[in-house]
Amino acid sequence: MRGLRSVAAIGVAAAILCGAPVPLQAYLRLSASVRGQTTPVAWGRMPVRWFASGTGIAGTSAADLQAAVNRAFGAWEAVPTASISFQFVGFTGAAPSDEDGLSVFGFENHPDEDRTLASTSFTVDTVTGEILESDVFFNTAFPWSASGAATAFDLQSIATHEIGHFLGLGHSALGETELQAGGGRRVLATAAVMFPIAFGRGMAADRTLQPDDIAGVSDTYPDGTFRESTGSLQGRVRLGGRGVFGAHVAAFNPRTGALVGGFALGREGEFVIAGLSPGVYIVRVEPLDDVATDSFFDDPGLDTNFRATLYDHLIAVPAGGASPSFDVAVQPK
Amino acid sequence: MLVAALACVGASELPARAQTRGNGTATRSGPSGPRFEVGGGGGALGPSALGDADADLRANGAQPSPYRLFSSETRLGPSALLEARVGYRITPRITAEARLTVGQPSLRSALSADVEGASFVVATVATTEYVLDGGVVMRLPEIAFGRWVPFISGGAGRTRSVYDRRVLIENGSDAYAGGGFIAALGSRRAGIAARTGLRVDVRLQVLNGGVAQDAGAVPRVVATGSVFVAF
Repeated sequence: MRGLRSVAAIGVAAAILCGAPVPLQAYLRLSASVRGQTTPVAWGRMPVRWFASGTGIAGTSAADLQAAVNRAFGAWEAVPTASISFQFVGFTGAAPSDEDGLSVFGFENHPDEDRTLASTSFTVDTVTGEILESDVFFNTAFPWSASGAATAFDLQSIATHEIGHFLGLGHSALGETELQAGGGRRVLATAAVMFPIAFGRGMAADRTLQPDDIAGVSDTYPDGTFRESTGSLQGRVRLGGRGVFGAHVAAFNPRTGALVGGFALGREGEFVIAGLSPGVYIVRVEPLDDVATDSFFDDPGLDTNFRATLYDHLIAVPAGGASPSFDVAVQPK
Repeated sequence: MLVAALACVGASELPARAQTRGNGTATRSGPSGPRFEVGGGGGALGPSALGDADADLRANGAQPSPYRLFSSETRLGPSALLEARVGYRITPRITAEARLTVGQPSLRSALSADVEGASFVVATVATTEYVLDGGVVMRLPEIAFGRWVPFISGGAGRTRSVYDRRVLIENGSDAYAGGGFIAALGSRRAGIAARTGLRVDVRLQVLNGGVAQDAGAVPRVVATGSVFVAF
């Protein structure tokens, strides 16, 4: 979901990383309760078939919507290290909110959700964790443009974000925000299309995936060479001898400029960041305080009372392997 | 490169012959004295700058772009080194040689200007660096200072940087140019077939790839002192 604030919406029998222990994973992925276990969800078969609603809005026809969404799908499909493909089936009179076995992208009016630009919902097989259906609505309470108009939100950019959820990715915390006088937060800058708060009207930067998005989708749907050509770094975030759950960890490659993020998802503060090209990385740890934490976790145990920290060791990441584990000690605010 | 040079020398080697000219001057067409040299010693690798890099975010339209999360400035630190060398004297002036140096420079990134005020820190990682190169040494006896004969040298080779207990290995190349002084210590008149000597060497080395990946050609100064045996 993208908007002025954001919580990824998940449909039947799903939750975002509820407090139950989850397998340590490199990226925040949307999860469901599958056979009693919280399990990341993903499409089991390719190509993923999708429909576009046959209903447009003033200034943006159904064909405009379909073309913009198709281009957004193309951005994800073009990731060379991910094995994903999509197929547009056709226009439909079904609404995105219908649970009908069709994955539909379309406009819907949700005036009560005045901070939600768009939302993605799922139907998941609770035996296998496979996504069976995923629908995306674009809230007509906001102005939309498929042609980059300065006074409207860019349909392709928001679709690119929602397709990340459509594929099972959660939000990225690579971004900086500021509090606004009337409440809520305004985004200053981001390093991921999957950051939960959108850029302003007329901004089309999120049509282009960033290294963090590419690493996330490749880790979820790896192609044949991805695991052997990339590596991971792993460690723990510690505060006063205890693990810091939910700390945001970013890995920066000074040679390539790539910035890839992850979270301490283990109760001892463990984290893994995967999909990194081999090389030497700078590690930064910060509290999750740029966006409401429920954009990421459904867990009240998040610790945000510590200072941002640059780690004093460079981490060597090999191809096809992981760095030795390391601890980053953070200090209280 | 060195193997090819030695093979050409071996194939074209001629016995020394004395020629008598009209004025009685005798010349020799081949090298006199020992041909092979084996040496070893130590020295220092100088530091080198590997560049600055900002961790940038894409700014919202109203803000200056890009938006810096923090800054980094990376250097390869200085280090002691060990050196082993073999050479073949092609002519009295020219020696072809191969050299292996091993040092342990640390990679260091100074991290600053964090947007959320994270403290300045220098992040480091240990490396072991191996350089295998081949080149040519040309002695300049006409400007010798007593025993000390100056020389100039140049060559190229391969580098290997091993990080953090072999977690990551990066290969690159190097080229160098420099000079120094050689002093032979042994004496034929004493009946010693082998000659010993001292050599001091300063060169400008340029690294490419490997630890210097994406930084372009990275220069640094290398200084060594060694003993050698010629036979």
